Order: sequence, then C-alpha cells, then structure tokens
Amino acid sequence: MTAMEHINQIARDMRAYLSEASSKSEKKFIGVMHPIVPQEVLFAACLHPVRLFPFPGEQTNMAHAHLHVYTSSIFRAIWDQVLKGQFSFLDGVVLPESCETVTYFSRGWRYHRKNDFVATMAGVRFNKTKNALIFFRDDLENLKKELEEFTGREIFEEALTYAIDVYNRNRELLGNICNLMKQERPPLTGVDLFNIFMVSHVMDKEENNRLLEKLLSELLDLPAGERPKARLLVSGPCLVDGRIYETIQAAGATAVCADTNMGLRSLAGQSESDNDPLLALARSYANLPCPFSISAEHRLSYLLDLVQEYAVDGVIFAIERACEAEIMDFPYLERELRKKGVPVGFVETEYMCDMAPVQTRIEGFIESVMK
Amino acid sequence: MSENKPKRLESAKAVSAALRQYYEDIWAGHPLAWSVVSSNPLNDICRMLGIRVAYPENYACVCAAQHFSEKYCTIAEANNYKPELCSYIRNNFGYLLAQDNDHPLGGIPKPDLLMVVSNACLNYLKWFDALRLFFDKPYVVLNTPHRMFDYEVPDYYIRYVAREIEECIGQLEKISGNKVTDQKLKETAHLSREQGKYWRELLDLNKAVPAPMNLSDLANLIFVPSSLSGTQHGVDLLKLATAEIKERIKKREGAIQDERHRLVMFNIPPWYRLGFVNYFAQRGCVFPFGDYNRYLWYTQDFEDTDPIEYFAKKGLSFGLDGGCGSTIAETLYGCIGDRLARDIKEFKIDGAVVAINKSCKIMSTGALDVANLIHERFHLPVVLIDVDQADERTYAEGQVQQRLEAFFEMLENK
Repeated sequence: MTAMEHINQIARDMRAYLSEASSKSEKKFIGVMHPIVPQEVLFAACLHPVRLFPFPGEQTNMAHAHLHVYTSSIFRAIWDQVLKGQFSFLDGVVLPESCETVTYFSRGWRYHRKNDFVATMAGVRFNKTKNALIFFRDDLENLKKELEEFTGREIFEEALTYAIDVYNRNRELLGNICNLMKQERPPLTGVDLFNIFMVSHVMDKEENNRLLEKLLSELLDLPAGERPKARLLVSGPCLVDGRIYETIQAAGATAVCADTNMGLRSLAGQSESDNDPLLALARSYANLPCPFSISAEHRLSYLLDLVQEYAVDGVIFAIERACEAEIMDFPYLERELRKKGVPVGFVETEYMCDMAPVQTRIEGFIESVMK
Repeated sequence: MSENKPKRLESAKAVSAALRQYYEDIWAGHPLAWSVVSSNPLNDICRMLGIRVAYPENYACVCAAQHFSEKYCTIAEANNYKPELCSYIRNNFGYLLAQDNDHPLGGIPKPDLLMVVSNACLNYLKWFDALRLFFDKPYVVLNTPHRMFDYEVPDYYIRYVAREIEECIGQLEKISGNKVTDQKLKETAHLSREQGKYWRELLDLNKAVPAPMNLSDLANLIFVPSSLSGTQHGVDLLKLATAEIKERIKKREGAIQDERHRLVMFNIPPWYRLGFVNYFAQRGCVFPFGDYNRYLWYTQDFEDTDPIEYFAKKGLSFGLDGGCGSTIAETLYGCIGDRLARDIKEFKIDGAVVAINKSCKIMSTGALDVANLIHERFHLPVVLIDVDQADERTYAEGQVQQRLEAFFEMLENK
C-alpha cells in the first residue's frame, strides 16, 4: 500500500482508526480543540493529542438540549458525539479561549461531565507584547502543571525539547508537501491534501512523520498531475467537511492550499530553539494566523502572500455560519482582495450542511475564474 | 388583565437627564474615543485624560429602542455584514454606511481613536478592528483573557493585565497630550469601587416584597455603571436611586401595583420592545433581578489601594464571588451553583424567563442548562423565548405572546 493509499484509508473512517489506535496504545488520548493549543506540551507528557472534530454523517440531536442552534455547528456535533459515547477513546480534552462556543461552553463541559479531564488555556489576542508572551508562557506552565497532575508524572525540559523537535519536523514535512502544490501541475488533489492534514491531526506525530517521509519520497517518483482548470485557495475556520474539496475537484479545479484551522494555520507553531521551551512555544503559537488571534489587516497580508506563492486564481471563503470572527473579517478581506484583482467567492457552511447550494456557488465561482 | 403599569422611579429622570447630557457632551470636544461598555478600566482612565468616550454598543440599543434597527441592519447586510453577525455590530455599520442624516439623538460623532477590552464578548476585538480599518484611527487594545476554569484567578493574570493597562495608559497619554497622575488614578479607582458598592446595595434592596424596582428601572440605571464608571456624578446618581428605593421600601411601595409573581429574566432584553416588561406587569409579574444586571457589573468588591491592580481586577471582572461574578462569558455557568440558588430564595423568585438571543452567544450559551436547572431543581415554571437584542426584524410577536400566555397559566396554577 502506498503512503497516500494508507492515508486515504485512515481518512475514510477516522473513528475506527482512533478506536483501534487507542486500544493498542499505552498512551492516554486527549482531544484538543483549535490549533492554538501547543500539542507539544501534551506529547511531552506522554499523552496522545488528537485534534477534535466531529465524525461525518451523523445527525446532531442530543446536543440541542444544551447548546442552542446559534452556536457552532461543528462544536455542537462534537458535543453530540461525546454525549453519544463516540469519543469513548478520549481520556480528556484541552479547550482554549478561541471560538465563542468553545470558550463559553468550557465550563458547560465540566458541568455535564464532572469526571472528564478538562484543561483550559487563555489566548493572547492582537497585542503580542513582550508582556503578553510572558503571560502566554505562564499560562502554558499552568497547562503543564494540570497535565502533570493528570498523568501523575513530571514533564521534564528534555521531553519538551524533544516534543518541539518532533512537531517541528511534522510541520516541516507537511510544509514540504504543501510546497508541491505550488507546482503548475500539482501531484496531489485538494482532497488528498485535506486527508493528509486530517490524518496528521489524529495520528501519533512520530508515526505520522514516518508516514509523511514515505509519502514525500513516493511523490517525487510520481508523474506530474493534471493542470487544474483553476487553482483555488480555501479560507475558513474549522473546515472539516471534505465534500467542499471534493466539489472543487469535481468541477475540475484544485484547492491548492487551505487557510483553515485544519490546514495551513496548523503549521504556524514552528518553534525556534530557546533555553526556555515554553517561551519558544508561546512565541510561535502567538502568531497563529487565525482571526481570533490577529487583525484582519494581518490576515490580508498573509492571504496575499499565499495567493502569490501558490499562484492562486481565486479565493473561496467557506465560513461556518456561527463563526463571527471569520464573518467579521470577511467584508474587509473581500473588498481588499478584489482591489488587488483577486476573485473572491463565499459559501456558508455548517456541519453536514446541504451541499446543493454550496455546490452551485462553488461551480459558478470556478467557471468565473477558469483559465 | 389589570392596568398595573410600572411606577417610574423619580431618580430615573436624573439618569435620563444624565444620558441626554452624555450624548450632548460627546459632541463638545476632542479627542473622542469609541469604546465598549463592559467592565472596561480604559473608560475610567480616559476621563482622567480628558478623552471623551462614546459607546457604539449603547448607541445600538438606542437605535433599536427608537426602531432604527431594521434600517441599519438592512444597510449593513447589503454591505456584506452577514445576518449572523451580532445586531449591535450590524446596527453600528448600518449607521456608519447610511446615506441620510436621520439618526436617533442626532447620531454619535466620529472617533479620534478606537479603544477595546476583550473581557466580555470575544468579538469586541474583531468589531473594533473593523472600525479601526474603517476610520484609520489609533487602536488601543487591552487583552483581558477569559477565565474558563473554576478556581481563583491566578496572580499571573493580574500581573499581565496590570502591565497591559500601563502600556495602554502610555498610548492614551500620547494621544491626549495629558498625563495621568497617581492622585487622579487613586481617586478614580476609589470612585469606581464606591459605585460598585452602591450598585450591589441597590440590587440587594430589590429583595424586598413588593419589589421597588422592575427590570425597566434596572435597564435604565445600568447606564451608570456602564457609562459613568469612575465618576462622582455616577456615584451621586446611584446614591440618589438608593435613597429613593429605601423610601419606597419603607412605604411598602412596589414597582407595580399588584405584585403577584416575582420572575427572573435571563439575557439582554429586546431593546425595541421595552413595553415587554409592561406586558408582564399587567399580569402582576415583576422582575426583581436579571442576570444581565446582577451577574455582570460590579459583582464583587476588591481593594483599591493599588489602583492599577484594582483596574486589572476590574478588567478581569473578577474572582468567583460565591460561584459567580467573573467575565460575562462565565456568567451562566458561573452562577448556576450556589449563587443562583441563593438568589432565587432571597429574591423569592417563582418563575423564570430565559431568552435565547441570536446575537449574543455569551449570554445564550448555557441558557438551556439554566432553564433545565430552574425547572428541575427549583420546580419553577420557565419559559424560553427567542429574541434578538437589537434586530427588530427577527421578533415574532405572535409566537412570543403564545409562549408567554402558556407561561402565565403555569404561574397561576403553580
């Protein structure tokens, strides 16, 4: 089996993969919401961090007893699946100050599930002053202590430094794969790229590094792919619905990069070495290019860089309807991108939303930007 | 159905006059900051520096109350501000993008700076970032992280916010050309603390039967802690109201004539339907408290000997205070324990109105759990209604009334 086939196989049934992996592993599995959480600290605590996202294809119903319909449909679906026991392989969660629903419901999680391990983390938003970085570092120290109490073992500096190396390597490998998408004829489809990232979010990072190394060596031997009719950048929050990428692909275009919480934003934590590993983590994670953390102006310059690097023909904003931070940035980003001659499309998404209107909009947009 | 119209407080006239004066004053000079009304120490500091402060959030309530929200929300949406955005934000951008000059209270002047604190709504920073890009003006940000845990705020939170406040003071001094003196800082912190004491006393007085104040009185008085914090004028207004309330209690004079049911309201009221409270009053229902006034503002007292530390704690808005009283984000789950049980008992509450507000996820997340808790643990009738705080277009009058009628029946049969 090739590395890509292996990845696609895991991506087809993440729940089965995680259930099996947790039963074979001696590590405890911890769900982590949002890319702002430095998973390195969990890895150094001999835990297996897994990015939290809902498994596809489920009806959300039980969660509606606790979360009203205006909250994030992604988080509601996660909560629904937690209540239904579908995350039984998890031993706890880390919930950061991030999306409104996550932030406001963190205590709700504890209220309903008193025996769960729930660690939380504050954010450093907008002002990345020296003082702010020290605060972020102190907060990571606090997270470290909570994890130490939970596991009953101390997290040593060497373990943290090792974890940083493992995660940096993972980001480097994923970054190298993303670089291949800059080619005129990318060797991967947008769907493949999405699956690569999603699998990296659940797999043990050392194992994932070995798999990505294999994948990269196989990709070098592959003939160039087809030239896409249009090269798209997809931007949005926790975009966990692969059908968006399938729709783009089916229309003959390729999503060559994804400025999403599951995509490129997860690569933002590349840490420089420092005598204080927690400070190094604070420094790198503080600059995550997510709307909660940085201004629309900085996001624009980040997006314009991506547009240029990936030779993008257009940007599709695929925004979860409850994600106000993304919606708030949209009018400015759309206006400024258009001023720079970058075509912009918009689709509103929700967990397991009806794809018919989304498909119509995506296809219409692709036709308008096709070369 | 009795007439039972709420009796307006005499001191409300003084508060209304202060509000009108406030809107006149913001036109009177520069620099003018646009800011957020939540427990925001930068507002107190601005006044020391001669910076006037206007609140687009408050103004959105005014716009909604004067039925301008339909116009402004529609304009904002036509300019790509999606309907899922908070209606305060859409009201604000609709106001800015409107082509005519027909605005409630004559509008608010354009800002010379934007100033924001992150302790309440997570979207404050994004909204004001968008305003900064709209106006191209200096942006002063105070990050006050949300406490998402159940233990006391650690010292490093206070240290961080205190240092950030010092940085903000530096920025504000530069903009205003004035200096903050230690003496002034101490005085302002003290006045802010004094206001807190009066505010809490005032709210506690409403435990009396009949309740001397109704929700509309509290909604009116909230202008003081939200907009006049750290001022002698604010303290005086609360003193005046406290004296009047004490007098009402002495005379056993209620806010409504025939008080039969005492209710608690959860969430922000629909500002465009302030008659909403009268509708309850006609059924003999009074609201001695709501989570919006009791659990958000000045919920606890803390030392003001070190004013910067005081302001940091204010910005973090603050510790547990018996299971409540931290940032707005924590309100519902923060009060859900002993605090709510105590208040339900002491305020002699016999029913609850819980609103789910599309625009305010903070005030609405946890609302369903609060409703279940009140029903199951306290065995009280609860009604859930869908209202938006400032988008009148979403208000389904018939549906809300139907639900309320069923609720009134439950109350009568209790």
